[in-house]
Amino acid sequence: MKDSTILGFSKKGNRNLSDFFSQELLYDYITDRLDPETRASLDKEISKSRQLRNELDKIRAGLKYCGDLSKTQASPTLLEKIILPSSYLEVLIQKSNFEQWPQGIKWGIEAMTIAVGITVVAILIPWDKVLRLNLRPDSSIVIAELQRDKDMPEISDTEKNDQPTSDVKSDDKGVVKFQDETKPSEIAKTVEKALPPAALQESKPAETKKPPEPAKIVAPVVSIAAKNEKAQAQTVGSLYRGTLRAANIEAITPKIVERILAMGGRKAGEVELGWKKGNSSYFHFTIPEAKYNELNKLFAEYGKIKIQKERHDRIMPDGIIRLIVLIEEGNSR
Amino acid sequence: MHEQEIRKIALFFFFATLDAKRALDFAVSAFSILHKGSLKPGFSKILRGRPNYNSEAGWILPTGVDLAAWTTFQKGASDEELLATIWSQILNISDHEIAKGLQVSVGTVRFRVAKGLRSLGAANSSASSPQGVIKL
Repeated sequence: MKDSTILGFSKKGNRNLSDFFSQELLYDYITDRLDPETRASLDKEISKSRQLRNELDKIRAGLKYCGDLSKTQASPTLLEKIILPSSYLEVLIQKSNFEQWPQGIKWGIEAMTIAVGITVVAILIPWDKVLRLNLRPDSSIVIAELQRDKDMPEISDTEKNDQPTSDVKSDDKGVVKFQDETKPSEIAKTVEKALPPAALQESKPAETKKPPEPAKIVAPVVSIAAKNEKAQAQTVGSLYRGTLRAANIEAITPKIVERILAMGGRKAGEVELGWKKGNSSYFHFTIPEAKYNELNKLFAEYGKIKIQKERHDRIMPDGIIRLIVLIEEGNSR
Repeated sequence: MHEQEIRKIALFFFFATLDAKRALDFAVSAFSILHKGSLKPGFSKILRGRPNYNSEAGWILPTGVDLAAWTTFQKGASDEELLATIWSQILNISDHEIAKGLQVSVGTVRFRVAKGLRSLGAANSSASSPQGVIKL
């Protein structure tokens, strides 16, 4: 019985192969992977075609050359370089055949290493300092706003209504003072003056023999309810905070201070403009809002300034903005 | 890992790059990756046509064999031919294993090897002939 899947021969019993097929079968011919009929047919084609013989020679030459190349050896030194890792830890792991150890022992060692690490970290952390940190949010309530200037004349109801409703006050030099920048001793004095006698009596029971002089309240005492109403009516304040990296800040700081003052800028905190803070200059100041673009250009002369507007509880008077800019020593680019 | 396998890794990178230093670096990386069981090699494309090796690099060629023909072949052959020839004819990996690794048919692997051998044979006869003419 003849297998129907095998290609049939021609009428003369020959199986002729095309040049294309003959070329593609040459490798299989050399490696003896052809069936006898195909091999016989290809033998005939090779004997007839010089091109096929050339191709066959090329493949044989390639095979011989590859056979020679396959005998190439890598020197023991070279193999050692590949096998031996570079770091001491890897050398240790390899020498100890750690990979071959039982899984349970490996996990145990890894767990022990982690436990030792955690213990060391726990010992090194200064827990007394961490526990002393007050991480709770500020829960104080402002019950009164007081004017520190004792000699200031009393203001009428109409004037009271015209007073700015912010926490910002200016002194005679035009320097803006913020409530939280007042020294504690001054606050104590002011509260003492502002509180009514009854309140002082409650807070100082030992001094009941000599009735205290009634303190003169020079600023409007705002009740909590009124304060809340005002707070609802007001918009939230803002603070512009920026950083700048510039070269030679010791030389440029006085120039920047001068330019800020020329723009109408005033220091806003306790420290002077351009206060040296480590390796940087600190600028906390107020400036007319109209000068903001000019200010940006000023900083841009020295480096790439990045200013962000942040929400802040303090509300500035109309047309005035408050900025904190930190100029750090470094490459301006 | 068996020393013979490490040798195969080293030889593969040497014949693929013809650069002793790169071959060593790649072999170290490959060995490290295989040793850790990871199968995510991250080798960049191999630059070809810039042979860089000498007799002191640690590769010992058989007597009477030079790399002139291989250099020509390594520079001009396609990636598929080059890799198939190295794997099949130099490292003696079976066609079935290569086909399985590349996810192609065995016939495809044989076709690539045959093409590579033809180019290599032509390069070899050209390198050995005084005129230096490549017969393709």
